[in-house]
Amino acid sequence: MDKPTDPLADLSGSLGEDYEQSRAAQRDRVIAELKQVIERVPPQSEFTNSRRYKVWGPIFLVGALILLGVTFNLQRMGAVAAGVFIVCIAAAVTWQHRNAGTQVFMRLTRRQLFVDTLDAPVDMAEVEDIAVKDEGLVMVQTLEMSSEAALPKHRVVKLQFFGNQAMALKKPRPQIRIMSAGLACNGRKLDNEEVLAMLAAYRDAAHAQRQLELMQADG
Amino acid sequence: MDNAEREAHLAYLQAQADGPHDSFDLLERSYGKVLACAMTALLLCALGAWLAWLALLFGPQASGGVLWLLSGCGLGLVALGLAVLVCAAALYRRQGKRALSVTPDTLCFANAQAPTPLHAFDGFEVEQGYFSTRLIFTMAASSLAPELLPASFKGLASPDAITVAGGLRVRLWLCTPVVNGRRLDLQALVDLLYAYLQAAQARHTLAQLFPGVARVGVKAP
Repeated sequence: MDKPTDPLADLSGSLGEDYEQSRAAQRDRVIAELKQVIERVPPQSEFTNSRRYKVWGPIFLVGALILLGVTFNLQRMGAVAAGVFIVCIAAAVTWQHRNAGTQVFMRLTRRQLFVDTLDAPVDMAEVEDIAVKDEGLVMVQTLEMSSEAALPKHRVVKLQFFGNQAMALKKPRPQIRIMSAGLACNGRKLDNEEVLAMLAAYRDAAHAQRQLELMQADG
Repeated sequence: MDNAEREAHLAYLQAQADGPHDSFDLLERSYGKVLACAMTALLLCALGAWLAWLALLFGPQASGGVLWLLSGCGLGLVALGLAVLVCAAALYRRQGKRALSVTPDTLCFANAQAPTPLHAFDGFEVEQGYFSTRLIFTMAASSLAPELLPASFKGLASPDAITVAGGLRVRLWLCTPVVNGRRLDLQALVDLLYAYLQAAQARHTLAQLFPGVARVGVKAP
């Protein structure tokens, strides 16, 4: 006859099993939720600038030409010079934006942000705060980075009117600033709020991706 | 996470879960803007009419160009005034409409077919513009944006919400939010909504942690 089993030991054994089961179930649920956060955004989104100066550049040019024609008077060379200067700027804006809305200058993936004029991708999981501002001329996206993030170097685009330009600034806080003439995705123009929502969703996805990797590394 | 930390977290969740119990309707008050719009409209119309009358008055003496300019400007101003008057009429219809109805567990937009559970939102922002207060709700990843009817006349005639960026956020704008006959300032609005959202989130988290307890809490039919 074998000795009777200790009921308390039995109980603690079954409780431990229960605990393990509920732990595994919770883990699965957390992983499922993280995957939801990641899969909410497409694996990759490509952004171009909007066509605002492709439309307004020629109008501005015609206006400048009319102004020049009206004020043209060889006795007053100052006014003529100013008119010619405005015409030149309008022509340059028109010429520089002739391909607006076709060239992808910014790409977002579920981990990183790629911009043409930054020499390295930006880790979206290091982004702490996002602000988007557009007051009619250029859209400025400001990504405040965490203090230990490695900032890429930016290349300065020279002599571009309202061109696409990214800046990596260390002061006052580490931040990435991306300036462009509006923003469009798949040919559709995005307003400030949509850009903000998309950047925030990609940042959340990057955080979730990092969390998921940590959990999977734990086993 | 050790046990003490766990217990502290649990106590925090329980404290948060005990939020406000009564539901409220967030109404819209727009008479101030109606008045401002109507005054602007009347002023524009009067100015336009005066310019057109000047054109008639100077008709015999003045040259053709001046006449065209005067009557063009006058009629343009009258048309602009009428457009602003239409806006004022739309805003007048907005007065007293329900923008949000909030219960301890759900939130219903004016143009939504069914209430949305509060835990479907993971946050909200309030933006104060020059002319309006904007409320922006961020959807949690696990839930879909509520089905909304299209906003009528750019949301001018009724405080309709619209979904932004393919359902990542929901936005609506308000002239003056009023609850229980009292107007709310920005901070009061934030505090009010935050208390409901926080409590609903805490209850949702507790229900996920202890599904059994949540079932016990449900009243028998």
